[in-house]
Amino acid sequence: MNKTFGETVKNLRIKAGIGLRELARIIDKSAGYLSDVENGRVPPPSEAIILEIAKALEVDKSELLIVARKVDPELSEYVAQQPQAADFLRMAKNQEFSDNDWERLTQLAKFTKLGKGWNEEK
Amino acid sequence: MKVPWIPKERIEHSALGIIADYQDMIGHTIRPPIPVEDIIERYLEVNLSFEDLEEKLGMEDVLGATFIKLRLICINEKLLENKSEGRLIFTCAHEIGHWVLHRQFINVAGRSDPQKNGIVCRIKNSRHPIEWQADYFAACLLMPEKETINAFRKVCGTEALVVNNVQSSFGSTSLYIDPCIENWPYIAAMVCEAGGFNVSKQAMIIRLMGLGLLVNLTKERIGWSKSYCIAR
Repeated sequence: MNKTFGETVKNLRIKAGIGLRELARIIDKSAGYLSDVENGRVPPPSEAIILEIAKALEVDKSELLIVARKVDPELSEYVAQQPQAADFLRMAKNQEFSDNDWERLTQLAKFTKLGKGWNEEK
Repeated sequence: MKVPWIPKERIEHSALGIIADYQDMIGHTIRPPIPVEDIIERYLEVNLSFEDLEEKLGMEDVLGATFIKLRLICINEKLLENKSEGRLIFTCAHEIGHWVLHRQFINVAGRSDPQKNGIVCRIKNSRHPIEWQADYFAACLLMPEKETINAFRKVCGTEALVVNNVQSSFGSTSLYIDPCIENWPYIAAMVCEAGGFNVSKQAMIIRLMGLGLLVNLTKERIGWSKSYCIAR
């Protein structure tokens, strides 16, 4: 079964050796609230707080954002600034792209070196 | 819930055993303040949660609760609010005490009555044997005898402090010349500071008396309800 956001944060926090109260202090929230989040008594926090949690725990922000079903604010901003990106995503949604479709599309972009950043990536 | 009598020595031994095993796990020795939250989560692998237990359980004056089957220790989130970290830490240590000393009895009771598959700790039950044992365990865990004696000696010397008077004859700063009931919050605070103990002054003074380091020869009972103590 997939882990919830709260379970994921709790596991990562314990693995990092950071106490619940300590993490709450770092992200400037109450320990009671963070306990509620970890135990699923309240919904996952905002994207901004998730990014703070990821930074404090030194983990990949994508891992937490995905499990919280949130979008990275950087991506939201990119889509907002690139109407064609929004159009493309809408088309993908309407055409019901599968995981396989997205994988093929990623490979195509890599193969044809769309954009400028491929040489910088490992 | 009834539990069998456990000698103080065995309770102390259990608490020191937890510290020793925790040290083995993390690979180095520790000194006070004892990291009770990490002991709960990483050593015991028990979930720790802060909740409004009074609302959840419909009871007043709840400090904490331990649920065996859920592997869960809950601390009343109100302890987070009143800035009394010592009390919060002591409650965590107290619940560890239940987990270590009593979980087998709670499990047995829980088989016949699911409602009893946990223990709820309330201020009004503090004199019950099960609560007293967990309190004593907490004191031994947070204020190990050796470290407490060392800290006491740094502050007060090698002799036990004998309290003969309620009020000081020389003024409030004469801790060593004339230790008195009125001064004991200072004594406790100084020993806490010297040993790095993250406990309340009340917990420290009870531990000092338990170890025979502070002897009260007055008829006055040391208690926090006195206005002069609260003011400090």
